[in-house]
Amino acid sequence: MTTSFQRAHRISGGDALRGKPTKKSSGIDRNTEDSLSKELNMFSISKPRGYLGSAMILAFLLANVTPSRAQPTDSSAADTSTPTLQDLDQKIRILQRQLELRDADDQDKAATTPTLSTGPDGFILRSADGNYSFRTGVLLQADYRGFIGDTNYNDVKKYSADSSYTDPNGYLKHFPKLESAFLLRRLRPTWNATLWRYYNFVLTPDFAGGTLAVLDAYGEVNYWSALRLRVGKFVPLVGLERLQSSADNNFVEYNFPILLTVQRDIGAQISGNFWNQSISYAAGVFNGAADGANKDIDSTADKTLAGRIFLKPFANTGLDFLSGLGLGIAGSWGSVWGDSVNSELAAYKTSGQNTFFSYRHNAVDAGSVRAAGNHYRVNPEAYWYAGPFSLFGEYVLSAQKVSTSKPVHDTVAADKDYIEDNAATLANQAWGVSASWVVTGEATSFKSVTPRHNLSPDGSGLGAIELVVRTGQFIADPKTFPIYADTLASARKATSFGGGVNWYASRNVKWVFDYEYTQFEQGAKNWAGAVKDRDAEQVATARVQLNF
Amino acid sequence: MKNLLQKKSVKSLILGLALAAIPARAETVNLLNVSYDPTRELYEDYNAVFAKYWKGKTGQDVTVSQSNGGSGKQARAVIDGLDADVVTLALAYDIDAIAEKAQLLPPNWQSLLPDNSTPYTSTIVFLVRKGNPKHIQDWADLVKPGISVITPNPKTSGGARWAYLAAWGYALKQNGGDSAKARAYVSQLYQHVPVLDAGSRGATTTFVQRRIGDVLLAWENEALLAKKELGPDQVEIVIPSISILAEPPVAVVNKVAAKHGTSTVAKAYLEYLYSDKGQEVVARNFYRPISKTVADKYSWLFPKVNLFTLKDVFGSWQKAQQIHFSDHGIFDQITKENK
Repeated sequence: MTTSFQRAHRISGGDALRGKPTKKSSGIDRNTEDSLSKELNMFSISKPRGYLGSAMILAFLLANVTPSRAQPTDSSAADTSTPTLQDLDQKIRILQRQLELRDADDQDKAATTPTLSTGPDGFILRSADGNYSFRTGVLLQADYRGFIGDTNYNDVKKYSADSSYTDPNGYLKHFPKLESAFLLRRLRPTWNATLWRYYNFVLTPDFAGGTLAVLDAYGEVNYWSALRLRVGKFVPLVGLERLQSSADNNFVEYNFPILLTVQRDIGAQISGNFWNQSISYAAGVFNGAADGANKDIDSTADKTLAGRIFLKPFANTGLDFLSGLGLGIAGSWGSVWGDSVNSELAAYKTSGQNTFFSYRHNAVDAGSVRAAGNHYRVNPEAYWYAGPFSLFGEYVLSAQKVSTSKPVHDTVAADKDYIEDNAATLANQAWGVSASWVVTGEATSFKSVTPRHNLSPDGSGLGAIELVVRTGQFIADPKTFPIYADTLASARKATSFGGGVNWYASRNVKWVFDYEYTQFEQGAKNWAGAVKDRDAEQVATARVQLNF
Repeated sequence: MKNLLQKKSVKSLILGLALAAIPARAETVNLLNVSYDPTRELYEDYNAVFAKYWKGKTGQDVTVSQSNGGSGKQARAVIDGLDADVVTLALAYDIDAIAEKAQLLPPNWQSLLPDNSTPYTSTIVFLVRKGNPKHIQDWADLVKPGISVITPNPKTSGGARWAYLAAWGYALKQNGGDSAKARAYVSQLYQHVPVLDAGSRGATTTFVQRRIGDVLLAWENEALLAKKELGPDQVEIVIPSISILAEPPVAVVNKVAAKHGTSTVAKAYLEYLYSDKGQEVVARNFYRPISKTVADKYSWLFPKVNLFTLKDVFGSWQKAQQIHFSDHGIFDQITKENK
């Protein structure tokens, strides 16, 4: 029977209670062999392997070696005699034991030593127990945006005043064209810290365009997957494509529905998921913001409630073909108020980032248009990921009460009655559908594509290649015209068709090539000053994206 | 029925019955004892005895978890956050470090229990192979050519520090108090040490199981236990001409015990070490009991050793630590010279 003392002697020292593995020495493993060979370097011996290696060392030492320093140290007894078998046996045992202790020491250190790692997920500093971590990453998107003979409606007013461009009726004879350009579309470092395992903090600014904007800045408590609390600045729930990371979108720019959602707002939300994320929910309260806004300051006490529920009904059924199907609905309801300086109303842009719709502002005849109260959004959404194929679609209705006011009434409180008399609720709509096919066979998902074989200079890997197509439409509320928007400057409807190729060199590097054609109803004037359809926009964009 | 339940007297009766049904102190108390390396068997034995005693006295179940390792390492672990309710370490200096650096117990902790919080003592002896083939009789034999000595690392092990100081004390006595000669001896001694384990149990493993070395500088209790477990045909104990009285202390880690609500049990746990039953457990596990009665009863178990105290030779643990074991102290210097 083994005694407790004998059992204890199998422990190579150290505290089993603290979870340090207790190892029984059982011969020489590979690391031991390598270190053993280094230790024996003075004997000029090549790397042995396994027990055979130990025997080889022993045989070699028997033939050639002199005793080590741990043996007689008295210089007067400098041993010139051949070491005994016992001496050599002791030497090997000593070396093995030293390696055992070194391993145990390394395990001790590993239990308390933080790790710094770098890889596809960025640079991560993590404590030994995993309760604390700091991750830094970056999203860089550099584009070449090329317009194909597109009219530059952005500068129409400027050229209308230039007689070299206009006829006697004031109609532009030579329309300025949109200039193609390179641009830094997004430059977003992200810092993500986890404290005490359950508390998470995220900060993401954007430096693109030579300006600094804070996008995400929030803290989160994550005790349970079914209930999380987030407070700060982040995407306020409406817009499925908006909730997807910019790095993971299929196209260079968002489809039309996202024009009607808020980019970022400040508030608090609870969220969670059940049954292996087959049901997800979120509900929050926010300051409230205009379509497309990245809002930092709230000038009123009115707030906006937002909510979302999303189902993946086949996630746990084992039906692989349907497990990637998701459907949901999101919405918001609140109040948004503008003033003469900030109307809190959006201007909507094409895929080429050219404004095709804006509300009247400081127009002499009708007065400035401003947000004037209730604003609600409804957003049914769905996606389906099935292997290398995907379908993605959503619809957004954004209804905002607006009003016109004379410039002299420049505070909300002062002219609320006037605003009510001139108010209307305008409901703009947009829908978009896209599809993709990863021709190299990798699975696609809400979180992009990971190539099986990264692009390699030696041709051993080509990355992953995805073909994408989409269409979408924006429809302004007919009540908008002519009081709240100029038919000669703002399109009533915009419809786009696009296609492209996404080439994933690796998880972190993506090349995007898009072409989009957008046609409009109204939004320009003809030679007679009558409304006509704005010229179609054709834009081809190439992007290189680095994301980690 | 509804009217009956609404009567105040009935409600009180029901509440009383419910409270009476709950046994007093029904919960189990958990203690963590952070100890030095060789005390595994001692506290395995003692914890069972104390649990039985405490259950009988209070009706409360107590479970004591053990953490063992080199005394210095254990002290650092407690300072760094290991939640020990009690510490039972190899030397007072390690508990002083916990009091000073982490303020988990008061500076006067050693006066809170009898005999300077030392319920048992030990010493350093030599454990040699059966037949003592290298004829090791005393400290001077350890530095003879061909002798390989096993002792743990004084930077981490309390037993190793006691062994180092025992060697130094011997050398001082042999050389009329000449510190330089004592240093030379100790330096030569460590040239004969091929492996430095982190703790005493590791050193015993090296000597006994790995069969490395000719002599182990061991805690007396460890040597006696090895001889008992392995049999007299494996090892022998050699008593040197002089050795040090090792006084491993014990203490409640007040702040941790208060946080856990275990102060009462923790105090009782250490106090029971001084009881006759506790001292019997101590003696059975080859530690010299502090109780004269029990010591006399077990005097046959422990060989007569000429002992000096740390205070006699080194003054205090603070001084000994500062001179010998601190960074760039004599042991570090010796290690560097011997490389």
